[in-house]
Amino acid sequence: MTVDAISASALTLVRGGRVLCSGCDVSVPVGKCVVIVGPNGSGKTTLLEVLGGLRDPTAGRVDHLVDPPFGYLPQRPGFRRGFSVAETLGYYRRLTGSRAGPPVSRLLERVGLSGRAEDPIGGLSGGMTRLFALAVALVGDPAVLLLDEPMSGLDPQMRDSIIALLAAERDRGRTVIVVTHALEAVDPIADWGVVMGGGAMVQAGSVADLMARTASEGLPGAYRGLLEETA
Amino acid sequence: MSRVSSPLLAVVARELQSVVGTPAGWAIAGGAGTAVLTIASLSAPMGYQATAIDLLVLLEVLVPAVGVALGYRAVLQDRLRGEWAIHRAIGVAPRTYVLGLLLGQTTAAGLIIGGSLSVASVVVALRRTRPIAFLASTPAVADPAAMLWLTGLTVAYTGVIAAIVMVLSSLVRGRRGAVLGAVVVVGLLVVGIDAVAIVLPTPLPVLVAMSPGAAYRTLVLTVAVGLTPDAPVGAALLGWFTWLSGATLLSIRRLRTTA
Repeated sequence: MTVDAISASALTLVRGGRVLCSGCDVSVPVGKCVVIVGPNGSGKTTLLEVLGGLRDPTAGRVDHLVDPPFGYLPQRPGFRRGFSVAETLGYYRRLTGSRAGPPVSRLLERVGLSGRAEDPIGGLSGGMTRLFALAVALVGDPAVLLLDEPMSGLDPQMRDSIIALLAAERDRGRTVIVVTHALEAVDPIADWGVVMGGGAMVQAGSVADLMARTASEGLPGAYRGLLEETA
Repeated sequence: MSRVSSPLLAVVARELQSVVGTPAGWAIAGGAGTAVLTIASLSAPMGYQATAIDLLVLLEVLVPAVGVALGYRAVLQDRLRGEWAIHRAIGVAPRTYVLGLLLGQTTAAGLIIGGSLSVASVVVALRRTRPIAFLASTPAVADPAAMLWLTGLTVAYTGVIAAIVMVLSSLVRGRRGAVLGAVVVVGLLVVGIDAVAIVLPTPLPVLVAMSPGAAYRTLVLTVAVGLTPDAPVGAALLGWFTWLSGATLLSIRRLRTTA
């Protein structure tokens, strides 16, 4: 039996006058890696934000069955200029108060930014800024990680290292929700899938169920199969 | 440190460091300080009261300008970069974030302008000469309390302006809108609302309550300088309170529904 970290029922999302999903139910089990996939503009980011409580749904209800802090990596992360990497991370640690979790040096080490602590935040490249944002998402040892395109703009080696990090978090019992187009990259760690497309949510469930339904191998195959079903 | 106060203090400290740690912050402080000290140096021989009156004209423009320059992008940039969403995910309440920004912006603007006025008071103390006879009819001419009150009221006015600027910053959707909004807000605060009285005859207490700038002028001329003892001080304070609380609540409400 699975225990849910987040439960959404009768969810309707409308963005810019477009219905992204209508009357959908989504459950996010504790300690699983949930991958939200779909074409560009299908509402993946909006669903992630709604599941994380960052945005209200147009209709329906979202229940968080675990307490904050949650960790969030935005699609296009950026940080205030005038601060160093360590100062910015220290700021977010202060926001979590008594649940500050790992120290700054450990967080930077986990995302491959050791030795960058004193760099100005504005001096990081786009890929490094994304890695740094992942370190910020890990502040406070959150029970749920909400990650929007965590592998975008990263080299293959760094992608593998991030996948290993996410697998480690899941194996510690953390719930990881990932929005991504990099299906092959997340396939080894995906337990659950939410497939968006065609103006509505197509399917949500365990990756095993999605594969069985489409008689395909892996998350990429299940995704293509489900999109073909609705085409 | 309690879980409530620690995030609030962290947000305040971040706002202050954003001013101290950027060239723009130093440029704003340098420009404001130069303007205040130039007027103060010219008026200092006339005494505290005359200097306060001369500075009032400058400060009616300077306080909104500094408040807008420091704060018009504060919330907007955090939203566009996704930092506000990170705050929300961590569990920072919109009220904590808004109050932190407000306190930080007020402290930064207050230090810039209040600090300049404090130095100006020293300049007056060093350079003032015997009061001119027609001004000497009020004791405020030789009373440094005029400058102290001016400083205190001006710092309070920066808080009202910071709250109004934060509403702008939380409502606009992009940088272009923020710049346009900043120009409109400065215009409204400096002349726009007062202009209503010219177009539509408005009772003085109503005008003073409606316009934060008119309220500031009223309070300075009444409390600091002592020239207009019958002015509607109550309406001015009520107006400030309404603008401050209304703008703060509006910002909190806006951020509750924004990722």
